Amino acid sequence: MNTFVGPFRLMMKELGPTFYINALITFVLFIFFTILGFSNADSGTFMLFGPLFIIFLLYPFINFRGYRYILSLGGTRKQFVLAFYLAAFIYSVSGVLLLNLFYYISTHMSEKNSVNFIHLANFVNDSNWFVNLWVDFSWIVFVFGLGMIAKTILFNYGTLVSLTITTVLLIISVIVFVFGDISWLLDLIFNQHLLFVNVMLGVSVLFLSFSYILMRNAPLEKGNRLNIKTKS
Amino acid sequence: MIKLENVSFSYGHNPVLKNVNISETEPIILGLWGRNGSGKTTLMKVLSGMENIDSGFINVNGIAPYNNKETMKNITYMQENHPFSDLWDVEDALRFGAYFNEKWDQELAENLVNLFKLPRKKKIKNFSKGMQTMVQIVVGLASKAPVTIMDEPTNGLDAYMRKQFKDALLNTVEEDPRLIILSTHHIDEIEALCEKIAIIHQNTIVRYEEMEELKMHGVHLSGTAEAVERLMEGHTILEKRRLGKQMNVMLDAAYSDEWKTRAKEAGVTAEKAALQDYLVNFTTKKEVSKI
Repeated sequence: MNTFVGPFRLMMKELGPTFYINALITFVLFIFFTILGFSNADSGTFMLFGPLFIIFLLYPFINFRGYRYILSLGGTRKQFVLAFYLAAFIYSVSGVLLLNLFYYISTHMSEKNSVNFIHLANFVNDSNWFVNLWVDFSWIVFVFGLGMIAKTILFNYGTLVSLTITTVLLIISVIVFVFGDISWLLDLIFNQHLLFVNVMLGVSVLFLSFSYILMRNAPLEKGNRLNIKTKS
Repeated sequence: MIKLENVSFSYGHNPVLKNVNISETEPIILGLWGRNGSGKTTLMKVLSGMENIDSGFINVNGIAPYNNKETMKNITYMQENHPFSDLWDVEDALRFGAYFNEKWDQELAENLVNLFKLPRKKKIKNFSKGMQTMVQIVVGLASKAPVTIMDEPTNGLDAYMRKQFKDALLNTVEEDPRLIILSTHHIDEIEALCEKIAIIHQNTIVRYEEMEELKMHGVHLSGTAEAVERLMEGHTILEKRRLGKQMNVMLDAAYSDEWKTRAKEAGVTAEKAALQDYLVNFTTKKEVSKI
């Protein structure tokens, strides 16, 4: 048997429950908003993607435990990262399909249903369903990549270094926001959303690549990378 | 099977293993004994590929284990508090045991689960300490890995279950010979199982020998101080206590009939020291001699 099967199946199992719970929450919200839509003509616009998007941001924090499980069964650090990425990819595709199934049902259900769901692809002004899927997928990969790089730095360098980096990034962001010209960014987000989404996907790939590089020789315990570095 | 030459490992500037040398080519049951902080756990992590060495040479069943995807085919390491997922029940542990171990023996796993009467559908995180140890034993033995390392394998087991474990271990090793490394603080737990023993002390292996040979070591003398002092001349003293005119000492010497005869002639009582006491004193002798 291929040595990757164990780590992959393990990560699929680890990610499974949180995915299914959030998929169920999304389904319940969909039903609830739909009932609202049928019962009240002015029920308005709702957001359905929240639970699934949030869980992909949190996945790296919740499921990093898989690292210990895989290593303790003889797997490698690389196998952990690749198994985590592959499992997250499979669940992200499932999440995207599920979300867009709900969007599809909602838009084709009945004229009596007044509920609207916000879809981030609405910014793209393209009715192509593939664009809808692509935008959701890119956002999910972005939030997962963001969570992964944050958790990787936290795990490798510990709380103090991570908080220092966060603070510095926060200060730089505030300075840019207050003193800089961010009109180009707003234009990119709202007027060229597909390009923005593609840039985000590129950034996510960078985050995930950097996480892989850090994790392939990661310490066993949180914050111990500095100990590894000081070895002569 | 395993070969370590001048292996060193440190956490930052804190050395945990220093110039460790050990070589074993036979599929035997090997005991690893050491006191707290001696480097035992780190040695097992290095052997299982969880940690990388700083310097030296390491080979476990033909591979360098660190970050090597072949490690799972060759080595199984069951930690003292092995990290099983909160989501797992016994069935999951067996399933993942099979995924990660090329030579996994499902029949043996099932037999051991039945032997230990483990509830298959209960989450492992809700098991008692003893039951968690049983799961570790099941996975460790059923892995049939050429090199199997088990840390404190009898922790939390009652006397009956310890016997069951020992019987199961001896049966499976007889059926499929492989190198089993049993680590413990309490040598009594594994003394009867091991053919050889490695003593780790102050971050290195200080002794590696046949268990039968080691078991002969440690002579306990008690009698009048004058008579005991005469007998202990020329021997390394591991422990010395004085109560008025009486003196008790433990010597680092092989216990033999000769000791019995000499002691009888001198009016001193000579006994074989318990192995655990001998090892504790052997690894604290410097501290004792300062007293």
